[in-house]
Amino acid sequence: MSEADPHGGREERWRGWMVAAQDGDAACYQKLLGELLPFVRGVVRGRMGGEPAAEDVVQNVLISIHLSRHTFRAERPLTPWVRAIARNAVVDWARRRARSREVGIASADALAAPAPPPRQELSPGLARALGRLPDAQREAVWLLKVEGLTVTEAAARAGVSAGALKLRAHRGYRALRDLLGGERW
Amino acid sequence: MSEERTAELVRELSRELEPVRPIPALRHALALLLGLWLAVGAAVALWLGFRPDLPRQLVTELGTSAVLAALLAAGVAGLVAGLAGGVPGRERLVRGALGLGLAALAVAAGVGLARVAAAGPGNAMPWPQHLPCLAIACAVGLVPALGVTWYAGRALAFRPLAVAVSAAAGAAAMGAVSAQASCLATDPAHLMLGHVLAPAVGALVLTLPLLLALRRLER
Repeated sequence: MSEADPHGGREERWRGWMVAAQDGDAACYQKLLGELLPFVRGVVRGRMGGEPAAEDVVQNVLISIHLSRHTFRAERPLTPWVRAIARNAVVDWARRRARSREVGIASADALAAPAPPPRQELSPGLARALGRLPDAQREAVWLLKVEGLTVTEAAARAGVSAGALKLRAHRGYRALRDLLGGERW
Repeated sequence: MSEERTAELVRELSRELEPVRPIPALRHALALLLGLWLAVGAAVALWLGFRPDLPRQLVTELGTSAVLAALLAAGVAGLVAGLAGGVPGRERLVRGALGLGLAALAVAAGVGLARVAAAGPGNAMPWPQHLPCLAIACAVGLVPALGVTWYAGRALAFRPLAVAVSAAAGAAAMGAVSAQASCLATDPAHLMLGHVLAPAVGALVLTLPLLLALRRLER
C-alpha cells in the first residue's frame, strides 16, 4: 500500500537510492541516509518527546536500517519500512529503560557483592583472528568482549559515537566468524 | 549524544558498503511454502494410503469440506502472518492475516461443533485414536513452518514469538488438511479433535523449537 508523497518525488528518490545502495553504491547510500536523518529524527522525537536519549535511538535506527537493508523490496515504498524500524527502535529503548530501572533497584543491594571473576584467557585461534582485524574493529571487539565495557564506556574510550562503535563491533564479529569458520572460541 | 556524531555515523555506515541481495518477495516465499506443503502432504498420503472415498466425501459432506476449507484459509493466513512478521512495514498485512486466520478457525470450530451436535451421542472414538492425525498435521506442517522461520530469520522479525506462533499454528492447520487425505475416521468428533484442534496443538508443540531456530538464525 503506497503512501501519498507530498514531498515532490521523495519516495521515488529514496527508493532508487536504496536499490542502488543494495547494489553497493556508497554515494547513493550516503545521500539516502542524509535525507533520511531528519525524517528519522522526526519519527523518534515525535515518540520520545524531549528525551535526551533520542539521538542515541536515532543512531540505533540508522544502524538497523544498515543491517536490515536487504529486507527492503524495490516494489514496496520505503517510508513505511523506515518508520517501522524507527518505531521498533523506540519500543526497544522503552523496554531497555524499564528493565534498567528494575535492575537499578536490584543492583543497589548488590554493591557489596564480591568482584567478578577474572577474565577468561583468549584461545590462540581467537587471538590470531583478532590480530587480523582492522584496528577500529579489533578495538571495538576488544573493548566490548574482552574488557567487558558497556557500549557507552567503549565508545568514550574509542572516541567515537555509540552507534559507530556498535557498527565496528558488528563488522568485527562478522569478520571473526568468517576467519574462524566453524572453530569454537 | 551529539548530532555531529550521528553525521559521523552516517559517513561510517556508507564506508565499505557491501552489496546485499534483497529477501524474496512475500508472494514468492508463500508460493514456495505452499508447494512444499503440497509435496510433503502428497508424499505422506502416498506412504499412508489415500482414503478411498475422499473425493466423494468432499462433494457430499459439505460440512467436512467447509471445515477443511476454513483450516486451509487459517493455515495460509498463519503462514502469511509469519512471513510478513519478518518484514518491516508489513504490520498491516500481519494484522489482516491474523484476523482472517482467527475468523477461519472460528468458522472451522463452529461448523465442526455443529456436525458433532447434529450427529448426537454415538460410538465416539477413544481419544488416543485422534492422536495420529494430530501428529501427521504437526509433521507435515513442520516443513512450511521451518520455511517461515528461515525467511523471518533472514529478514528482521521485531516480534519473534508472534512469528513462531503464527508459523506453528498456520503450518499445523495446513498439515491437518493434508492428514484428512489418509484419515479413515467417520466420527464427526474426530474432525474436531484430530483436525480442527491441530493449530492449537501445533502452536503448543512447534512454537518453542521454531523460536529457538529463529533466534539462532538471527544471530
